Amino acid sequence: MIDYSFNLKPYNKFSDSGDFQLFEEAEDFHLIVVGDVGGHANVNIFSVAEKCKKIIKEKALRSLQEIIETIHDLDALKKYGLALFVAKIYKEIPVVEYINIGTNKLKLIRNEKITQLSSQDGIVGYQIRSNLKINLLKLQNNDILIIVTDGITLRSEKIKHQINFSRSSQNIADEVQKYFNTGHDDALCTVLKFKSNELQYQQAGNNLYKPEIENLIKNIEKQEEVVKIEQQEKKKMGRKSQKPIQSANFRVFNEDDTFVIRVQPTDRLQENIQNLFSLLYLDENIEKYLLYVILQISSQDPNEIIFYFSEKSLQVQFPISIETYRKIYFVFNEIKLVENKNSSFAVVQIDFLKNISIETLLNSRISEAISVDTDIETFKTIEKERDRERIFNQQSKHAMMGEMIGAIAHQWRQPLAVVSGNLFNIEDECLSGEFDEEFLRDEIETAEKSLNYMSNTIDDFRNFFAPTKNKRDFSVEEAIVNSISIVFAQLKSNNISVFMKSGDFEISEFYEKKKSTSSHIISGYPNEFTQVILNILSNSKDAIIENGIENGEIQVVVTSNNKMVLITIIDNGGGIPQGVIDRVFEPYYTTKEEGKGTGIGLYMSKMIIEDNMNGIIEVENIQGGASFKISFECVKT
Amino acid sequence: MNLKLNKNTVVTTVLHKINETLIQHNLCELQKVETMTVVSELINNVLSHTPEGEIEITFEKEFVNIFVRDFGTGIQDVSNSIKEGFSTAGTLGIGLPSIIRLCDELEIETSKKGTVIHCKKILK
Repeated sequence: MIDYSFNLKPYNKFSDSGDFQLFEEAEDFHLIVVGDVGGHANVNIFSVAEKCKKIIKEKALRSLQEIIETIHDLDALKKYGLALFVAKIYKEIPVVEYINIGTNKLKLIRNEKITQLSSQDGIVGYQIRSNLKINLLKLQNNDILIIVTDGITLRSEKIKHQINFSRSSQNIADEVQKYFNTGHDDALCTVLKFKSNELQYQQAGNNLYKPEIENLIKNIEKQEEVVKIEQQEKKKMGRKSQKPIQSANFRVFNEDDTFVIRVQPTDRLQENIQNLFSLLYLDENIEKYLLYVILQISSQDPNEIIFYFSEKSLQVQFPISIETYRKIYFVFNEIKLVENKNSSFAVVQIDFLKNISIETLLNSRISEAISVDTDIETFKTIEKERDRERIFNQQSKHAMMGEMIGAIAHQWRQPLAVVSGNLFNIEDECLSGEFDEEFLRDEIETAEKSLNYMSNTIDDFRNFFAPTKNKRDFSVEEAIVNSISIVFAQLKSNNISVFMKSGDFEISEFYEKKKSTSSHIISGYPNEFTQVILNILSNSKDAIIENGIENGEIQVVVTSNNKMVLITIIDNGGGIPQGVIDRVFEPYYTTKEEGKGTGIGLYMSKMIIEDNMNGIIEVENIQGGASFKISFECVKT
Repeated sequence: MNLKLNKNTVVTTVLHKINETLIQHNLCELQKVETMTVVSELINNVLSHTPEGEIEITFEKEFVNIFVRDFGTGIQDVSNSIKEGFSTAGTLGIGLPSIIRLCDELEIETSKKGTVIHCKKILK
């Protein structure tokens, strides 16, 4: 509410005064104008002032800047110039917006304290600054604004004593005129008394004034009651907690389409929520506010925050103490408090500007990304890596199987030939009539031996393929003998000799598994370890064949030092080219011709030895070949 | 305290610093939350609408002074920017309206060369 008055005392008479004022009411503001056209006692300046008033009235709904600029362009002003104060006092916001150019003075009286408010240089009509300054001032109840033209000189220290500010605006204007008129010019004094009407602001629904704490708490308590009742109703209906709350308060939230994301209060909370919000159509300001509030609450009271999504809206729930709620309610009054038996939590429901698609949200992987506390991009990269690893494992198995079948074929060729020979012998003896029981038993015994051997081979392979589930202690030597015996036939057929040594135990024939006299026990997965040895042997074999080495040789030596056991596998296959030796453990790296190598073997070997069994695998070139070294900590020797 | 605001400013860091200062000056929770809201709005305004600026916070016996200066092109449409957020009743007071609501004294000077905002929050 504004109490407005003015007092104009012309130098000569009203009809030749250049001072003028205006007080206009628009829908949502009052426009106040105080002008002083240069000169006095001149009929012309009166008509210029009238012209200014007319134009300002026409432009009243425009911005202050536009009003000033229009007046500034008025030809009639070029001769006289104008000091101009224009202001808008908003009806629903306790703010005065003003521009004050030239000699008019503006005083604010607040709590009996007098402040001169700013003005800017310039004369409207002659010259004004291109960057006009607009001022905004928040008004308080009982603020008084006094605007005077230069026919009045207001001295702050004197005003205090001579003016009674509790009187009406008209009285104040009259008194200012009486005591401070200089007598040299037209003199205009306008006075505005501002009464804030809280009721009016409240009715406008704008909640502009900070409500008094007591009122606020009353409000909150009222709301709490409402929600409590709803909670009871909910219980009757047998709904489980931890669901989006549905009530008149929270509009409609269709549970069938609900999608839930839980966000943990980690260090990346802000980023996670921002990432989530970036996928939604939220009002930018609401988004900012919600984030700010969540961060504030979380910093005091870190708890899981639950986001429920429907196509139309978002509901956020987080545990909050009533004390915190009362603090935060001021800032963000969209928050509702819901009390359960044991806890209270805050609920915010916000409608999206545009419907979202739950499916798109699901596909975005944001939920999974947040659950592992990272952003979508990183999450997708991690997942790609995981996929790749899975494929490696699978391909590696397949590749292994191919090698295996090759090895089985070799292993079986000889015993098959033996059995075939037995059958031929029996047929031959039978036909020649020299067949007797002893001969038959001999032949059958030989055949059985071969068949047993074949059967054992199959067992070996089968064991080898079943991954060991649990870590267990096993003998390195035994595992190596097993590995070599699987590929021994294959190596032999390629004229490659194998030699194994561990302490006193030496072996170069693997047709029958000999038990090692020396034994180092390590903890790990024996079948996987066998796989690694096979990989290396297979690589050596390939290198020897490829490089056309006639007397291929592979040596496997087990040594130990303190608690460490070291397995060295040396071949004479020509070694690994220098340029690639650093990369042989990388996935998909192969020096073999296309189609021959999968490039998986050594990468998998490294994973098995280093990641699963805490060992170390290294490779180096030695004279004429490659040397793989695998070391483990020994459980016992 | 005086903090520069520009493209490299991380809002949370600035807010954190200011929050610590407020704690040092024994503001009660309510005043702290309100002051932080004002500060956060002011900083966000500077960072989202202007290239750079600065915020200065000083403490006097009875009030906190918040000065914010930016080198943007001024508030374009004053009438609407102070009304913003008013359209949907009961929603948040965001931007200037919330600053108007939460501070005790407020003066804004805006021109094409930038905006200076001086807020006072009385410590009761």
